Amino acid sequence: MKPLRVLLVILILCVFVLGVSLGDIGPVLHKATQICLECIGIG
Amino acid sequence: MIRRLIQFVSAFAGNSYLLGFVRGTIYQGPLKSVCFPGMNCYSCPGAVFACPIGSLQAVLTQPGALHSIAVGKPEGIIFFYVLGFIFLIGSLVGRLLCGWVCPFGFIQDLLHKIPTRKVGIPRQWRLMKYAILVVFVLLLPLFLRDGFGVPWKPSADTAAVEHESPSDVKATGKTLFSEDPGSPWFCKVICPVGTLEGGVTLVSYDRISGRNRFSLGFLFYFKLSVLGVFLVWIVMAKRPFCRTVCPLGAIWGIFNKVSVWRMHVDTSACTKCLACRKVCPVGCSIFEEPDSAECVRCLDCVPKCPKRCISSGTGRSAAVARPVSKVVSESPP
Ligand code: SF4
Ligand code: SF4
Ligand code: SF4
Repeated sequence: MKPLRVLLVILILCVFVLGVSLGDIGPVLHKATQICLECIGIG
Repeated sequence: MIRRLIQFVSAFAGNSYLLGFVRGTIYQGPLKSVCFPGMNCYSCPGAVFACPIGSLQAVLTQPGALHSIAVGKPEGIIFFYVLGFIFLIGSLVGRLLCGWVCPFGFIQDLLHKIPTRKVGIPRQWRLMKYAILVVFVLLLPLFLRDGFGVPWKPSADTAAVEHESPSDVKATGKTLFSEDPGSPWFCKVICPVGTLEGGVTLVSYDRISGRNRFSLGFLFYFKLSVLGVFLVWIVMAKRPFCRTVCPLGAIWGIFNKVSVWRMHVDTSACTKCLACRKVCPVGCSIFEEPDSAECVRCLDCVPKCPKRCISSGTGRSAAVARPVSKVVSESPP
């Protein structure tokens, strides 16, 4: 079980690194840096 | 108590842009692209980081999100960053940050201390959070699109569509995935965290300062009512939001069974005295299921067990490894 768990962490780490290195942070940053009208119950 | 201190420090660290409260604005710097390990609304004036569940929906509500993810466009690949962030924490510690870091978990812990009649939560209600995760966080933001109502129209030539401009696509109707943005439905109709941290603070700021930026309609009052129901429920029941609604807790809970950091119970020494359940902030019977998806790994039960059968760690626990007779003889009569 233990090696499997380590493998799982490594796999997920790869997914995370892939997202960080190849992804365009724009959409998240855009939503996070405008007041989100849906969050506050307006939009 | 150390857990309360850590909860306080992380709630403060996540909301340390104090200027936001003074000016009625939100922080807009680069840290906002970093996810916070807990439910903390990015529209809170003090929020320095992004809410992971909000970010997940922000990616999925983009025009043609599925297509972007499938063909590996940079604006789609970022989906793996958000999901990877949530999964990475889950695979390492399961739901531990719910117990120690999440500001909304902290708020619920504090509110529940108000002395009043306390009630339980039916066991089956815990399943609701998985349905909310799938429907409101994943499916509706992806597929319920403005304008068309349906997200995509089948096309014989998807590759060709990719090279068309959005207006061409609209004109010909040849698109596999909608070019209209969707809505973050969990934020929009459910999330009391956003209403409390973002809505109430910003709207109160406007009322007090005389600025009138927002026109309040049905949706606002609906979300305010949802928040009201939760606040009353939180005072009366242990962490109802975490147990029945929170999509982030739902994901991390699944990881409780496979994470590197685990809870251990020496069931042979357990007398089922229920001392652990009494102090548990989510009403868990950990002796029945040490890997329960509901356990937020606060460790409050560990010192309360008179038989010292609960422990946690990465390997086999000390309590489990120790001979039962020794454990019993060490404990008070
Ligand atoms: S279940 Fe959700 S709200 Fe509760 S502590 Fe965990 S992340 Fe926070
Ligand atoms: S407190 Fe310890 S002995 Fe009592 S029920 Fe819980 S695990 Fe068992
Ligand atoms: S079972 Fe123990 S560690 Fe888990 S949430 Fe309850 S008190 Fe905390």
